[in-house]
Amino acid sequence: MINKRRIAIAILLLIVCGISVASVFNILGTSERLKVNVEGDKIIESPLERSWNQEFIGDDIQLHNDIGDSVYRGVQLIKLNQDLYVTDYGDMSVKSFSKEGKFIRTFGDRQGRGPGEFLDIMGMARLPGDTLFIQDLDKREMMVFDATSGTYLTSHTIKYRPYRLTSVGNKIVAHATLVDSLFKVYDSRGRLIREFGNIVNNQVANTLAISGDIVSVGDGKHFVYSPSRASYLFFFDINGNEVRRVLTPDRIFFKKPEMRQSGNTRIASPSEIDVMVFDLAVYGDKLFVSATRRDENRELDYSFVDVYDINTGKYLESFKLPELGKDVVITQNRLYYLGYHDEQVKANQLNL
Amino acid sequence: MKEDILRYGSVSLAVVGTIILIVLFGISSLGKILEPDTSIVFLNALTGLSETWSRIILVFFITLEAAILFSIILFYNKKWPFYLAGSVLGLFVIIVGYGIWIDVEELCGCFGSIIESTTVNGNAMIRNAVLASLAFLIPELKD
Repeated sequence: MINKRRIAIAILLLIVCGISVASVFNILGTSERLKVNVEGDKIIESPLERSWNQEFIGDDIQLHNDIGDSVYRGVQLIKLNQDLYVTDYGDMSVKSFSKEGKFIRTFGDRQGRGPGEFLDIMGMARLPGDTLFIQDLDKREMMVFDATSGTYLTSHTIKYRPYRLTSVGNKIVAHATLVDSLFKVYDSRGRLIREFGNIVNNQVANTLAISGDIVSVGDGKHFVYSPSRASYLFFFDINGNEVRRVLTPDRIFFKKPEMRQSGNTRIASPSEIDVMVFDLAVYGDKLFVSATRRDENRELDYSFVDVYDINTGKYLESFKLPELGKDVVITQNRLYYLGYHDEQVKANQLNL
Repeated sequence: MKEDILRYGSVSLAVVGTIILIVLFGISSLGKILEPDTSIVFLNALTGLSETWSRIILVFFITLEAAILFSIILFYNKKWPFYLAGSVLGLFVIIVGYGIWIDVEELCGCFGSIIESTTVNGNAMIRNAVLASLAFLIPELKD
């Protein structure tokens, strides 16, 4: 009798152990959570509760009329050197402005497939020596311009679907989608040096979980990547090593896309999540992660910025944007962002 | 008469306590199987080990809790399953206490998705301590 009970316990424990291994390690793939492949030496976990500090944001700043008159549909805003660069989908061009909003020049003067023309701008970065790189999604090109004159120089054909760019030292790091290697490193002549960045399992099939933003740390060696639909900040060096990983307050893990029927085709759609990261910015020793939160009715609720120490990945505090926005640029005493609805550049005093 | 009442009360308390332990360990192990992510994050924060090792530790704890559950059910007349349950609950008191000491902010994921996860705080320590005491007491009450 006793032997039978012990045998029964042993069998039951084997079954429980097997089931728990399958569940904990997601062997059956039934969990909606995707397994993160890269592992840094240490995962830094941000607090679950944010520390809100609205004293960061000061008064609205009235920018020069140029920026309001020239930008039709601003979809990306970045700071390169000391100037503001706006991707304008209204006339498919890139426009640069001073930090006061005075117009400087336009890159790409018409929409098209010709040299220096754009079809679908995705990401730009500037190298020392005044070279501006701009990725075009439709043309599958990385186009090179003289940043001081706006002159088109050359272009490089790319084989991936481009998303974002950043410059790290004298290299360009391109962020791609629908590929197993998310990051492509180019030299100043547009030559591909290396590629890396396998973040989650079955990356191509699950790509909808991965899109986000990249930004240079500013030390010439490292950059940060944040997916838009998962609560991570990945710190990489230019050689492809993950040096640090931060788990941000929202604790949203990578999820499998949802498959929906569309006519005769099944389409992968991203899973609905409450917080979506849209932009990274660096100023001094701080990393600014901008995101938008949805309310319980799935409507856009508010946009906010989390502030981290760029050297340690430690979460510091957060503040809300004055209105729904996207693409944040930080300077010493100013915050610039694109309004979500009117797609215009706005500015506020910033008290860092 | 008095002795009969005391005896009846002791046995009833032992039965109720046993049922509580069975439910507790059942929900705890099943909850972690159904939703392991919170526990993995907690163990990672607590130990500083990699996610892989946190998963391995979690599998160990799930199996341990299941072993206690099955032992209590199948060896109800014995004392050792209850002493084992009390010891493990005492271990959980130490783990929670350590988590409080190093200021872990994570949810413990103690019951997975079945019961909303508790934070690592004094209440969790007290809960586990009371249950550990009950587990050690049940064999005495049955006698």
